[in-house]
Formats: sequence, C-alpha cells, structure tokens
Amino acid sequence: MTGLKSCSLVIIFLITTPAANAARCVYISSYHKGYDWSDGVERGLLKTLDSKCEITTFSMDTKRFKDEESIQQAALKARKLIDETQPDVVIASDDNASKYLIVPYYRDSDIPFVFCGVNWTVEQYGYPFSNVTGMIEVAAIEPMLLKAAAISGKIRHAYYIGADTLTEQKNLKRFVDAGKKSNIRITSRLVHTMHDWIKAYKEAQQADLIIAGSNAGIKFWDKERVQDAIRPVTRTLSVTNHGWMMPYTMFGMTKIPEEQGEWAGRVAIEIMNGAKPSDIPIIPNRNFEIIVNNSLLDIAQIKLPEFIKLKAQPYF
Amino acid sequence: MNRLQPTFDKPYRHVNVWLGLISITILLLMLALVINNSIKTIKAQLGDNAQQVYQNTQEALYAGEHVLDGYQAYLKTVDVVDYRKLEEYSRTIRKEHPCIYMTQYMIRVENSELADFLHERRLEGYATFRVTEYDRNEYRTLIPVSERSVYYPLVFMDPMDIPSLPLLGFDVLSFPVIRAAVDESIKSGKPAATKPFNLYTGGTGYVIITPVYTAGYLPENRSKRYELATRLVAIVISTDNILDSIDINDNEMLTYSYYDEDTRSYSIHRTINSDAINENSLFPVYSNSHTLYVAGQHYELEISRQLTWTDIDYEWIAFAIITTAAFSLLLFNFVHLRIESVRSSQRAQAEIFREKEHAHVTLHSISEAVITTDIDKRIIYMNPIARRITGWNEEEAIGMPVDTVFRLIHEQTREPVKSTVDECLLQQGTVLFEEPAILINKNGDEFAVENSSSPIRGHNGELIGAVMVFRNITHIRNLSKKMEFQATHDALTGLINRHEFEHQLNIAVKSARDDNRTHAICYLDLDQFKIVNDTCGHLAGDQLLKEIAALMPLSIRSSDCLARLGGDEFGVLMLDCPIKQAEKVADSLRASIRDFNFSWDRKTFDIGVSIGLVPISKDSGSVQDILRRSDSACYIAKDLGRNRVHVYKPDDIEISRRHGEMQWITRIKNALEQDFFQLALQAVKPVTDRNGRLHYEVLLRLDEGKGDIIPPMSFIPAAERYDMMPVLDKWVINATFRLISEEQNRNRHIYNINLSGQTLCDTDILEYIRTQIDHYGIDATDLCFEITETAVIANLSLAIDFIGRMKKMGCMFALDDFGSGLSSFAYLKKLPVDFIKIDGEFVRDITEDPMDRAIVSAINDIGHEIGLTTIAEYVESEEVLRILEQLGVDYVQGFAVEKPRAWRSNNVVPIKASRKQ
Repeated sequence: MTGLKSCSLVIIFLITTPAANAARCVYISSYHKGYDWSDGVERGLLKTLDSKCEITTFSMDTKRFKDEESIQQAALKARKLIDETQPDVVIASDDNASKYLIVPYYRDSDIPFVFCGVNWTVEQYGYPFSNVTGMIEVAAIEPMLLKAAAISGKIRHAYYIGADTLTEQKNLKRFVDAGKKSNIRITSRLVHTMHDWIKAYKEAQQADLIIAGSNAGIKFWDKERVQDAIRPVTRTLSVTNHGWMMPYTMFGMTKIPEEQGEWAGRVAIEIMNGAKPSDIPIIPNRNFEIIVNNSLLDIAQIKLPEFIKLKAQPYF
Repeated sequence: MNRLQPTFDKPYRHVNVWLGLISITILLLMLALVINNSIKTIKAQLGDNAQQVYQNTQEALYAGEHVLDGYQAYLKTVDVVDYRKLEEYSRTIRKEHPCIYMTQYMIRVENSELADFLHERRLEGYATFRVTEYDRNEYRTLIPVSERSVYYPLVFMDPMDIPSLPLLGFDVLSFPVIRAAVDESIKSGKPAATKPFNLYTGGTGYVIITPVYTAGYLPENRSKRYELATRLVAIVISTDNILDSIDINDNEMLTYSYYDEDTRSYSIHRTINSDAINENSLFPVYSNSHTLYVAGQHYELEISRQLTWTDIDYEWIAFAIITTAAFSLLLFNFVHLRIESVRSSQRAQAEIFREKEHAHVTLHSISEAVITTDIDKRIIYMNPIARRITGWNEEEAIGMPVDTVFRLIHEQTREPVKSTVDECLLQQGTVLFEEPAILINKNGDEFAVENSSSPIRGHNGELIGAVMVFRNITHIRNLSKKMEFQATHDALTGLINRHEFEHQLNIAVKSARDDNRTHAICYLDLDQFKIVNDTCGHLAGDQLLKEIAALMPLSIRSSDCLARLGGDEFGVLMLDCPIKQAEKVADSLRASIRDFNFSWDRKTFDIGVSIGLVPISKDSGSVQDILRRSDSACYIAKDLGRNRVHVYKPDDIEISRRHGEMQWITRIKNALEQDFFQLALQAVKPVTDRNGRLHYEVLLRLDEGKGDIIPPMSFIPAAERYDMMPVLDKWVINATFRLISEEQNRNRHIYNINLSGQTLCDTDILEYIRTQIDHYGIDATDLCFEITETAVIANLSLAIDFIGRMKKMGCMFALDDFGSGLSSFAYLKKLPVDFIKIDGEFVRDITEDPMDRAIVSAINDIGHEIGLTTIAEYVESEEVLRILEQLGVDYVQGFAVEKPRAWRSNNVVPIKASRKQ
C-alpha cells in the first residue's frame, strides 16, 4: 500500500506541478480588469496563448489612477514582477505600459516584449527596440470614409464632432489627412459640453457625413438626453470609430480589442519558439467591427447596402 | 509373338507433363489476361484520375489567374484602396482557391517619393516599415533596398501571418524571377507567372502578377505601360497548396514538374505520396502526365501508379483459376479418356492379336480340324488337321465353297449330305451333325467324321461366317462298332449273342402283340457237342461251334436272326413267318446239321441237333415265356430221340419242368441241403503296383459226388430263371465268411464275391451281409463285391443305393464284365465302384486283334482317368499278360496268372475249373 501511495503521489505531482522548463509569460495591462478594452485584449491574449505558457498578469490600472506617481509606482511593481518572474516573453497592452515600463526599464533588454494597443504610432517611444515588437492600434479612418461613401454616395463635406482633447485633436488630424486623399472637406467641432455637442450635431446635418469622435473629456454627458435631442434632427449619415458613441451614431467601425490580444499572443508564441522580436515587423491592427444603429438609420431613412448589412452587428 | 505385339504406353508417358504444361500455360495466359485487364483498368483509372486531377488543377490555376482580374477591376475603380476590402476579397478567394497561398499588392514608388512613402506607411501604423530586398549573400535575409529609380514594394498581403510579415516592403523588382514576370505582365498587360522559386516562408511556389494601370485601360505602347503601371497585384501560388488541393489516391504518386523553356528541360519540382511507388518492386509503374499552362509557364503534372496485389481482380483470378482448373480437368479427362480409348483399342488389338495368335496356335495344335468360312460359305481358313483330313492345302482351299472341300456322305446310305455350315448359317446357331457321316477327301480316302458348326459374328453381332469343327472318328467309330458288335455277338461264332437275341425277340413279341404279326422262334441244342467237348477238349468244341454257326445261315432266310444262346445252344428268330414255313426252315436246319460231319484229330463226329419251334403271336406272352416254351420244346425234341424238330404244344411246359429246369431246381436245392456246393479261389494279382493287395475271386462249384465238378454256367441260368440266385449268393457269402474266419495267420487278402442282379433286388441282402460280417468278425475292407454291368443297368437306382451303403461299411465294389454294354462309360460316372473288370472277351484275343487291344487300352485309360483300378480277366497267356502290363492295367486274372483252386477250411486245393465260374 505504501508503494501505491507513493506512486500515486508522484503521478499527482507530475500532473499538477508545472514542468521546470515550462514557458512563462507575463501580461501587463495598462488599465484594469473590468475595463472593456482591456478585458477584450486580455480575452484575445489568453485565448491565443491558451496553455502555451504560464501566464502571470498585472494591471497597472492607469485609467483610474492617472496621476504620474501612481503610474510610476505601478510600472515599478510591474518591473518587479517581471524581474522576479524572468518570463520568456512579456506582453504589454496599451500606451502606458510602453511609456512607463518598457521604454524606461527594458529597452534592448534580454526580455522580449510584445506590445499592443499603442495608439497610432510608436515614434514617441523610440520603437523599434531589438527586444520589442507589437501591434499598433489604429482607427479605421479611410475604410470608414469609404464605407460612408458606399452608403451615401459621394462625400464632399464631413463634420467632425468630438471632445476638445489632445487625443481628439490627433484623431481629427488623421481624418483631415484622410479626407484630403478622398477630397472630403472636414469641418470640425471639438466641444467641452454636451450641449455644445448636441448643437454641433444639429449643425452637422447640413454636411454629407457626421464623424462622431470620442466624447471622452465631456463632463456631465447624459446619454438619454443626447439621444432624445438628436433623434428629431437626424437626417445625415453619422459614423464613428468608437463603440461607445454608437447610441448617437448610425454606423461604426470600431477597433477590436481581441485582435490586439490575439496578435500579441501569436507574436509571443513565435518569440517563445525562437523568433527574434526585431524580425517581426510592427504592424497596425487590420480588423474592425462594423456596428449599425438601425434606429437612427430608420429615422434618417438611410438604407445600408446589403454587403454592409451582412457584416454589421446591430447596436441595441 | 511378343516381338510382334504392339507397344503403346511409351507415346503417352509424358502426356501428364504436357497436359500440366498446357494447363499451366493456359493458367498463365488467363492470369496474364486478368492482369492485363487489371493493368488496363489501372491505366484507365489512372488516365481518368490524371485527367480529373489535371482538369481540377488547371481550372484552379486558371481561376487563380482570373482572381487577378477581380483585383484589377477593383483597383482600377478606386483612388483610395480599401485594404479592408482587399483583405476580405483575399480571404474569400483564398478560401475558394486553396492553391492561392497569398495575395499581394504593390505600388510603384519613385526613388524621389521613397521617403514620403515610408513616412506615410508609418503613419498608417507600420512603424517598422521599410523597403527591402534579398541579401544576395544570405538567402532569405531581407536588407534595405538598394538605390534604384523605381520600386514596387509590397504594401499589402493576405494572409499577414507573422512569418510573412517581413515581406512587407519587399521590392519585387529586386528579385529577378519576379522582376521578369513584372516586366512581362507590364509589357503584355496580362498576368504573367514567375518561374517557380523557393518562397520566403518555405516551400516552393510561383507568383502570378498583373499590373494595374493608372489610366484604367491598357496603354498602347510599352513605355506608356511602364509609366502608368503604378500598382501591381499578385497572387502567390504555393506548390504545397496546389498539391494539397489535388486529390489523388493513396496508391498514386504525383510528380509536379516545371518545364523551363529557357533550358528546355524538366526539373523535378515536387513529388508527393512517393511511398506509393516501390522502386524495388517487380511490379510495373504506369504514369500519365499532363501539361499545365499557367500564365505562360508550363508545368508537368504526372500521376504514377504501381501495380499492386490489391489491383488484381482476385475474383477474375479465382475465375481464371477455376476456369483453368475446370478446363484442365476436362482436358485431362478428355485426353485420358482418349488415351484410354486408344490404349483400350490398342489393348483390344493386342488382345485380338494375342487371341488370334492363340487361336492360330490353338487351331494349329488341336486335334480337331477347323474350317472357317465367310457368309457365302467360302473357305477363309483351314487348320493343318483340316488340311490333312481333306487333302486340300490352304492355298487351294481358300475361297472354295466348303461343300467342295468338305464332301460328306451318309455312312449308311452313302448319299451326299451337306455340311453343318449351311444349317448353321441358316439357323445362326451351333449345329451338330448327329448322323454318321463319311468325309471323302480330295484323294478319295474316306474318314468317319463328326462335325459341328458355329456362327462367327462381327463386333455388332452380325453374322459374318461360320466355323466348322470336325474330327476324324474313324478309329473311334470302328472301336464303337467293335464294342457294339461284341456286346451283341458271340465272340466265338460271330453270331448275335443271347442278350441281343432276347432284344430282337422282345421287338418281335411287341410287333406280334401290337401289329398282330406272326413270328416263330427255334431253340437249337447240338446233340453231340458234349461228346466232342469231352473227348477232344473245348478247342474242338469251339471249332465245332464255329463251323455249325457258319453252316446254319445257309438254311435259314436272310431275314432270319440266328444267335448263339450259350454253350451248344442256338436260336433262330423268324420274323413274319407262319409256323408251317418255320417248320420247313427248322427242318432245313436240322437236315443241314445232320449232314454235317465234324472232324478233329482224325476223328469224325456226326452232329445232330434238337430243335424246339415256338410260334409267336399276339397271345404268346413275354419273352421269358416264349424262351421257356422253346427250351421245353427243344427238351422234348431231345427227349423224343434227338435230331428232330418239335413244335411247341401247351403241355410242353409241364414236361420241361419235370425233365428240365425243374430238375436243376431240384438238384440245386439238393446241393444246398447236401452241401454239394464248393467254393474256389482264383487270384487277381496286381501288375503295376507290386505292393498292391492280392485279390481272390470266390468261385462257385457243384460237386454232386459223381466225379464231375459242375460249372456254374450249367445251373446258374436255371437258378436265375427260377429266382434262386439270392439263395445261392447268400450261401456263397456265408461260406466265404466262414472260410475267411477260419483262415489261420491269413494275409490280408481281398475276397471278390459275385452278386447277381436278383440278389441286388433282395431287400434282405444288405442286412444279411452286415449280420454275417458281424457274426464272423470279418473286416469289411477285405471284401469286394463284383456285380455285372448288365445287372447294374437293370437295377441302377437300387444298385447305386446298395453300393453306397456297403461302401460305408468299408466294402469295395468291382464292376464285372465291363465293356459288354453299350453305355458302359456313361454308367461309370454314376457308379461309386472301386474296380472295373474288363470283359474277358476283349482280353482274350488282345494279342491278335488290335481292336480288342484298343478297347482294353481305352477302358483302362478311362478307368484310370476317373480314379478306378482296372482288372483284366481271361489272361490265358504270357503274351496277353505282357501286353496288359504295357497298357498299364492294374490287376490281372486268368489261367496265365493262376488257375482256380478249391477253397476249403484251412486248405486251398487246386481244382479243374472253367475259365470262369
């Protein structure tokens, strides 16, 4: 009996104890669990990595604790975790992880990093590093303008409405640049209040297209009031790259957080399989989710082409 | 003969080997046929598969080419490329066309625009984007592109998997293989394919590339086309994907080769499922190839398949084997039946040959003459005996009518008779010629023959001729005649004997009774015979009898029947003769004898005769009655003074009884009472077997005390006539047994005791003998009873039964006087006797008469043949004895051996005796 017990214990140990040479991954999220974007990224990542490595996660929670010191402290904790873990690869999502963790502590280090969710460009971080690669998060500007043209025909004048923030200013610039390529004149209204936003929306009805930028930064935003305010006046096709703006927009092409996580996971696997991060180009995301607000489309009496309808997710 | 016999086994000695070889050959041919059929099937299947694969692949590749049309159409119509749409389209076509590994999109970048181009790409999110080319020194290593006036960097690809990512920014013009296709496509405005090359991500493949002109249409000249070809769209065809999309069978190998038009040679590009072909196998490999045309490039698609066991149709193999086996079986049976038939025929021929040889030899060897004829009675064969008898040689006789060669006449009538061949062919059965026939041969010689003919039939039973068998029986017939003559005639006088006379009398009595005819009989008794016999000896008596016998026929009618009835007694039977005429004949006889003087040793005797004449009518009664009457009448004639004829009267019987036979009856009874009878013994000695037991025949004598010993011939006829033989035989038996029992120190002789026919019929005799044997303590094996052939024939069934019973007691039997009857040999087979005593009449003159000698020899041979011991009696000279020894007779008896001797108690005394009894 003693022998049998010993044998059983050995078997249980072998089953439950990770192998000594099992790959270790550390996932550093710039934000926190419960944040839709971050949860989506993590979902994609975990789905891809599955059991390829032992994953240790750490959330820097910089969305809720935005002050510099908190962010720095979070970066140090992440660094400590990484140093203690000595992972085969670290996945870092969104800008703050790159800005506060990778750039200051792990530039060209031996630990490979895969970033994702970094907005638009990595120039400010000095990428590429020899040990860093990843996926940039871009909005579907040109594709969305093309889709809008497919819905409404020729777009000559578009009206951009967003919060008056630095991010929105950057986004507006990209739309303006994209409009230039397509000969679309962009009129912009970056506002501070909900009232101004609604006012701008009403003004925008005269344009061929309303581009709804992010409302992040507008205080006292009331979803129902905005909806109630816009319904009576809505006639013009409205588009957005932000999923949270769909209650007020007819057509949306939004980034897919899972794509970021999945790509980061695939790259991490390649690295764990021996690929060098520097040999893997940094690319932007290529997939977007099409969402349609049929209620507003009906109000505006705008019919979507069938090929769009087939791929679109309805907003409820 | 064996030398001529055909041999027939050798030619078929190896037939089984040949049949086996034929069967194996057929089987191999059948198998080859089946395998060939399988090969055809395989080739057909292979051809179909290859065609199907070719069509599918070609269609897929064509479709791949046409995919580019879709790209072109889209790209011509937009100023701003929706990469999202390109990606969706790419995913769709890659799904629909699995051979397409990747779609690519390249834009033309002038050297002067390169920096802006790179900046824009980075703004789009491609942070590390750069324009690259292959490092010429290190394969699959991408390095920044060299300085060139224009670039076609890759800006879009789908799928954009991680291993392919480095290709983003790759300048397709930097790669000569692709550059050639780019040039060709720009020049032609049509898709152009590269030569196959090793793909960056591994494996091989080729790229089909087509330009998208800014003008939206195909520029007219080449320079314009170069100028306006601002974009390129391409699909990458992976060999792996092509091959993966090709559905081949597990037992097929696919070789995908590229035909390089520059070198005009094929190079093995890729082979899949190579395990399907075993280079070391003896099975052949079949291939079917097609040329794939892909945007100006040629590829060879070859599907190979090796014949395997599983390709063979075992049902057909089984069918072939079963069919071959069945055919072989039939062939074996047929051939062997045929061989057997031929062999049977040969054996039959050999058998016929042998039979013919045997028959030929047999026919040449046998004592019978054989003549065979065809159905027209023409001779086709004669054996030597036939040639000798007929006097014809075979060359002369062949083809002659059988009746010409075989001329027959009837023995008695001498009328020509036909041979049995005619009747045989007519009746189609065996025919015996039963009439006595004489063959007159070519030389005029005559032969008594007997012949028979049998039909000769062909294979189908049809009549094809006849075989006649005949033999020269002249000798036998003469023997038979002699025997018949001796059986019916008196040996001394040549007249018919008493037996034959009684036979003729019986016929006459019957004719008188049935036909109311009138006959007469004379009974003659010589008056002075006893005087002659007593005074001059029996040779003189015999001579007298011969002369009288020669004299009497002169006095009787030619139709009358003269016989010697015994001693000096004669009889004449006159058929259809009234009594008056008979009296004249009788008297003529008497007168002629009276006038006859017999001389012997200078003595002259007057001979007279007493004749009793008896008429025979329908009321005359039996033969015995008539004889008794004639005897009585003769006695009366003697009694009346001799030399006279007395015609029978009814009271003659009484006179005769009183004075004749009755006198003998009285004398016999008196002799029995007075013990006047005596016994004598005569030795019967072995000749060939000197150790054989000595026999003594017991003889009966009458001595009435008057000085004469009366021989049995004097009283036996009277005793037989008055049924006193059983009494006499019993006396002899009793006296014999008594004397045997009284013999002191006697040797174990065998005593032959005569039994009469009357005694055989006596119901008490068997028990009497048994009782006497027991009474005197006689060993039955010392006894041998002699019974005459005539007595046996008259009482055959009784005799057989009696002999059988006595033999069980140990007694032996001898058949006495054998040869005196015509049916002697036939009865021999039925009678269980131990000895045959050859009639002394044949033995006595054996030295002078060859016929007698032949008869004795024949009887002796036949007796030996059936296991009997032969005894010859009447052996009266040494010469006779010598001849009998030469003939091989077993025992002899007679005066030359030993004379009879009186037999009394403890004493045997020689007596004067007659030849027998």
